[in-house]
Amino acid sequence: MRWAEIKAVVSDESSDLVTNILIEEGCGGAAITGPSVRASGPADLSADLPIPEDTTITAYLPVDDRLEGRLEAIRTRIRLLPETGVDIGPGEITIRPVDEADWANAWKSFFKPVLVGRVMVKPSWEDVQTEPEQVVVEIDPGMAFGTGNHPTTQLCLLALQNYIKGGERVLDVGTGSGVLAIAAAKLGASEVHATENDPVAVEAAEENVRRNGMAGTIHVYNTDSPGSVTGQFDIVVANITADTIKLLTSDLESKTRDGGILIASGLIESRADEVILHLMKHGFELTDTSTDDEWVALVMKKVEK
Amino acid sequence: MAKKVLGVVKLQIPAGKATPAPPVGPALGQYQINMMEFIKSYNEKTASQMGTIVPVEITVYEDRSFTYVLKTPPAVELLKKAAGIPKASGKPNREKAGKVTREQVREIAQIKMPDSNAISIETMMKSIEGSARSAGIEVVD
Repeated sequence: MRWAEIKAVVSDESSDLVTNILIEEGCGGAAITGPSVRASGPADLSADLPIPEDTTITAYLPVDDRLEGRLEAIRTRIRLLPETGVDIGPGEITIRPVDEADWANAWKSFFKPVLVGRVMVKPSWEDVQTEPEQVVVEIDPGMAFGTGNHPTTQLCLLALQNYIKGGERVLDVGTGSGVLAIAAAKLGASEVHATENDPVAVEAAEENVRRNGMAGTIHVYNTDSPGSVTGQFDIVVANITADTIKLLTSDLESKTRDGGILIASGLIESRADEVILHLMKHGFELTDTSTDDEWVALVMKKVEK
Repeated sequence: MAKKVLGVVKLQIPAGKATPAPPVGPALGQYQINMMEFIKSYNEKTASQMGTIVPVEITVYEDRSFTYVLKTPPAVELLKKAAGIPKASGKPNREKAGKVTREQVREIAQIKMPDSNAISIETMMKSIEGSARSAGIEVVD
């Protein structure tokens, strides 16, 4: 896909107004650098970068029939801002075409092998030495979530190692890159079903399943309704978000067998209690919680009737 | 431990709806950080503010780790919400897009105070009124 990159160099005081114009005329947001955008967190401020004088706003529009009209509207509206009493500074606008491929793969070089318990998650393009007791999951995440580097993925990987003894049926809801489904299969699950609503992720997951030689054990479905998968499961793992877990509760409940385990993650700590209470109202009891940084994984057991 | 900063960038993006498409992809891709991790985290934390722009300032360190801080929505965004309009005026000096009351300006100033270095609520209100003027939104008593 081709995009037009729009760079506006303006004063700090006008930057929100210019950004608003860009977004109103069709940009999906904007990236801003300038004097008021400062480092935070554990930043070594003595080695901080030079502070720029002006603010640079970068935004993008798809190259299509509407592009010319939108660019014209953007230029006109920015030009009219000084009439309302705001100093826009240099007010320079430059436009250049860019290609999606320029950034889509750039971050891959920082996906490194990670050992979580006895599961080694590694990029498909990297060789790594492993111990015999370790289980290796090889991943090329593409644009999908799940490199094994995120705390929620790690919490789920640890929970799977605790609860898979061998021979279980496992359902992975929102599989992303397929990392949890593949780990479950390699840890000894006899059958793994994985659902995912993003077609791009489904493609990545299917490729990763094949890459790991697990096509006979893992089935990937492109659906936003895990309830549509047949049968019930000994273990259901959902590394999604608090809201999606709440939205899918009846599916999660109907797909977990009585006495079976639901591993729910993707939650931040502040929302854990709300999700626990919600799941308890729907036939689950809390067995275990684990946290890493601000992230939480819940292990819930479906109460036997 | 203090870490060397590789870059700092602010994104103004719709709450709960970040994707690897621009501007997130190119802004973070250049630093080679794991943008999917950021996207998941941002969307989870801003889900309750869906429908508004929630700015986020991201600091990327030399080891490619990153931290981020969520900011309050831009004044112009809050003004549009208060006036009940989807868009600012394209010709703010000639065509008014909507109205807000001075009381609403005060409320917006209060929301914005934590993110600003304004010394008083009155100074902040002046700045919000300026944004209203540039967006073609009238301030009425």
